[in-house]
Amino acid sequence: MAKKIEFDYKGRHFTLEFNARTVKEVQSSGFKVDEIGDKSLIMLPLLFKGAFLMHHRGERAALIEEILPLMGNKDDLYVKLLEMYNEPVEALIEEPDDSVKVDWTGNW
Amino acid sequence: MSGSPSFTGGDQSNAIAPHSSYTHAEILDIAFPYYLSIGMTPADYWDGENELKPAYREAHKIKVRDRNFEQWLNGKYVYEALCRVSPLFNAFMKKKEALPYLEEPYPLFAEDREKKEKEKAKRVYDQKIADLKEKAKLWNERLKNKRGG
Repeated sequence: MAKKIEFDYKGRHFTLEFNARTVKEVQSSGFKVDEIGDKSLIMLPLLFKGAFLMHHRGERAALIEEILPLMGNKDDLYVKLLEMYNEPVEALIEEPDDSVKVDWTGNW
Repeated sequence: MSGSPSFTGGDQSNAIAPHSSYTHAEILDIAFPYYLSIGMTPADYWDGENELKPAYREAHKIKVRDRNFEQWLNGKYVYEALCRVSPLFNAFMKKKEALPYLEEPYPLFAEDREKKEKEKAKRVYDQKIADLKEKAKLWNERLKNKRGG
């Protein structure tokens, strides 16, 4: 199942996710995984901003910057964002997910 | 492809882990031609859902398996044909006559096999009935001759 972060803000629903293109774009914008530890104040907002590109391309930077400080549980947020960022690359080597099962019952 | 990274999802011996010295963008660029070769469109690769990639690899595996079976089957038909004409090439055979080629392809699916077996059983049954009728006809003629004579 695709890794996504979803939330509502000011009556709008937001879905954060990465695909191959947005991973490249985030990297082009200056994001480097290796520098998360040293430059977390620069890198993590870049990652957060990049996560909007897939479903909310063209979203105002000011709005994204307004949302980020309001997001609770930041440590967990950044871990999840990094997992999402890794997903397009992991999809290149992992096996198809057939673990998802839907339970159902018949009424006769 | 020896020495170069692999993202085919099959042989993982030289596959790159996401935490290798390659950046994410480089890994995605390296894998791109492979996905094009297995039929993924650039739009699906770059903008599509991440789950599409394992699905494309799985679909490719099925295609390769099917092609392998097709080639094996082709070889089996060639072998069958060679066996059937082999009497023509046997210098020590008195009667040099080739067997006719298969009247129909091999039944590949269970229902085809069942149908073929039923048809074969019916042919045998019909033949037996025809033989019995023929014998009955002969006996009747003999009886008739005896009575008449």
